[in-house]
Amino acid sequence: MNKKVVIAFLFMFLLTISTGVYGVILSNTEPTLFWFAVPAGNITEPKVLRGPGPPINLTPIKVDIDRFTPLKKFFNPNVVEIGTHWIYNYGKKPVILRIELINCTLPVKWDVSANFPFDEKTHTFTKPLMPGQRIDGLVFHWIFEIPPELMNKPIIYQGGVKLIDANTGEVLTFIPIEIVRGELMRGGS
Amino acid sequence: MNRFEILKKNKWRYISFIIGFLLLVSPFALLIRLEFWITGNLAEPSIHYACLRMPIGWIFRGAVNYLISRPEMTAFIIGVLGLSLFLGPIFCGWLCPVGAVSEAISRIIPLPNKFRIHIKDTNITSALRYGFFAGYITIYILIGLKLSGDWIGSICCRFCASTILQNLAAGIFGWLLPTYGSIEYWGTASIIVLISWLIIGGIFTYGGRGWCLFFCPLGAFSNLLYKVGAKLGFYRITYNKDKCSHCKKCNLVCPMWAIKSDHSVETALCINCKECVNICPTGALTMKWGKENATK
Amino acid sequence: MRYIWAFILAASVAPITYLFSIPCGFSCAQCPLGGICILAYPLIFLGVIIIKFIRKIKSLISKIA
Repeated sequence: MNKKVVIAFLFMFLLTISTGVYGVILSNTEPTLFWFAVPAGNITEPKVLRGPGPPINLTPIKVDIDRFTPLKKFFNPNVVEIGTHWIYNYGKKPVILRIELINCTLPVKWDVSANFPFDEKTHTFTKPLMPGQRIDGLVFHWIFEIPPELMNKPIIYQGGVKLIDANTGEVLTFIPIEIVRGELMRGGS
Repeated sequence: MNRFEILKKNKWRYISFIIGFLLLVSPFALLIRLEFWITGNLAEPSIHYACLRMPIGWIFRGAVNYLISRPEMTAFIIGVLGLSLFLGPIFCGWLCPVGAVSEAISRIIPLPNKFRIHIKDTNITSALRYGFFAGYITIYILIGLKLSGDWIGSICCRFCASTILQNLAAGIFGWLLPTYGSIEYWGTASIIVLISWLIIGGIFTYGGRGWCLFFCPLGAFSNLLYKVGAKLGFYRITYNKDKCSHCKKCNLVCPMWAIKSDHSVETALCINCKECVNICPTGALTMKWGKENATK
Repeated sequence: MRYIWAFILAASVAPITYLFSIPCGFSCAQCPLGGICILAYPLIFLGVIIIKFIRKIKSLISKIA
């Protein structure tokens, strides 16, 4: 085989590996998208929920802003986005889902669009989500804006998201969310 | 060359770009609005629902279920590709808001051309363009063979100039209509895409179509079909050597670097924008139908 | 020949752009690409070698003819 081909192959191969390492070291704390499903209970550690659709990885969400990439740190250090395209009902009965972000004093914008009726005031999907179904066409983002005075605190936000049956008030799934500084991120991928 | 002269000669193309923006980009997204109104979809219309990339991945990974479950995206891509076979990549050249914005920025910012990337060898440009396309397709084929993780959809969107455009438009025009899409959040991926699309591909690339030339899979796929269509005698650009005065004006106006050294046009790059046809003083470049003089 | 190099370079860049733009998992192959970028290289290079081989055969045939 041509020597140049081997060298080019090795070069690109190493470049890929090093880019992967870069990804591991620097950029694993921009967890923009997560999967959600009900009922999954209190998610204190990573868990796989199985149902009629794909297996769903549920995990506590922890964002360490110290581990943002240099680009993110330079251009947009104080904004954290957490969102989902996938909310499934893996239970046995239809549910009207209300979403509650608890313990949140940070300014947060709810950016929601779906082929499913959503009440922006109560943060409730007003139509029942049938067993085995997902919310169709969902684009759901929380955009947290961290005030300058909180930027140097070790824990910026410690709370979570509750997926609640709006009819009964029962908490079907709770996923903790933390925004911290200087701690290794454990959730999400 | 007088900028106003170019503007005047190609006015329909620039008007068409504005229409393309209004048809696809939220908060306007009139085409998507119409589709949602017909189908009763409650989501907020945006360019996301006419994705320029995902269905191409689905085609190559054999994800028929995705193609069926998102019929609007599938129809859009099939429509654009079908048009490319018969009429050339007119979506890229006349409607695509992503290409239009980067091309416009390139023309508005008066950077001297010596600071702009311009590969004059069309074979090199084609090799780079289709090499990237081959790498992109390879990934999807491997995913189709189940040799990789299965939630490629989410990473598609991290590498998407359309989403960035959507978010910028939502920031600028969001006050007009209720809209989703946020300009506040910038992740590493979106910053990289913004730099590649508008700064390197727009300002620092001759013609402002760097993103279209090297990264857009729909553009590359459309041009492949155009090449086939031109050979079959469908609508295409033709070059008459006898009429050419070698003034090189076509070379200067082509945003896709598609003019070869002999001044004929490389159909693997050309987007049928007709800028060269309109500027050619001798009529050496014309548009044609039919088998006669089909490209070889 | 330099066209083939341009092709290889661009084809190799495609998987890298995914890696660069994704916050990966904890180690390689845990991102949604599942390490596919690494598999892509042998295939891309195999393709190039096949193209070169076909070219050689074609030129041989044309010489014989």
